[in-house]
Amino acid sequence: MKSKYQNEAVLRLPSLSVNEGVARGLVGTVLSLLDPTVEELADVRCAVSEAVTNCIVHAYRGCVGDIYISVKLCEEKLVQIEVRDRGCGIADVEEARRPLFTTDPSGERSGMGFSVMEAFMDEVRVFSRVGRGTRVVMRKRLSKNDAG
Amino acid sequence: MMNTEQASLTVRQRGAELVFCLHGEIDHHAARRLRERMDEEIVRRPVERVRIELSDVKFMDSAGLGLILGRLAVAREVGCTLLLTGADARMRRIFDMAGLERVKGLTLEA
Repeated sequence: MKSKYQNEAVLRLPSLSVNEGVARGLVGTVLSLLDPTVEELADVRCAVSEAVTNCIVHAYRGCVGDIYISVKLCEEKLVQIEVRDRGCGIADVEEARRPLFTTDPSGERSGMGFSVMEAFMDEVRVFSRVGRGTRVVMRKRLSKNDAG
Repeated sequence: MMNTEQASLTVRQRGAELVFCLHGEIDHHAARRLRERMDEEIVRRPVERVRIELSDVKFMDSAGLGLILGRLAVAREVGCTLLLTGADARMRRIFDMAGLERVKGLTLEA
């Protein structure tokens, strides 16, 4: 389903971990145009943080590449966020999305990134090709408040 | 309101308990910065329990969970248990998803 979007922001950030917070802040600022609840804002910030962290930790492991984030504000308070990279890609997306699964060898990763995205967004789709990159598309429909 | 609050850590010892208070936004960037210092403190102090206090955490994603699990592993190695306090509803939801209540040596305070 394609909605004619009411506003859109496209961001490009290098895959530096300091930009996890930058991404959260920028997406939050754009999302505020839809007058989200405190919970909804926190949900989306968390999901974006997970997706961006995946690019930094996995997609561009050992190097620095570009992360593209697009935030589309659509009719009926639908928000679509896409986080895209040109990194290593995911060989088995279904496996990667399984809770607690991680390919990170450090022992510091919980393997819950996709699970958290799925918990806090209405819909998460993942497209990936090994050696080419990954695109995560997340959607959430915000609640209508009394004024809107 | 949209500023990213820099993560920080305060450390204190209360008898046989080592207390870490985490502050600010605990993401992967913060976890990388904080984990070494936390590990150093866990290893060098003769304590029985490590408490991680979360009430001043303004944001946490699954990297925060990874930080906790990594510290649990270190605590276990030196014979300590880990207690989590001050988690809000959102953090508890993430912890539930990961099945944290079933992890040995870790207690989530209600």
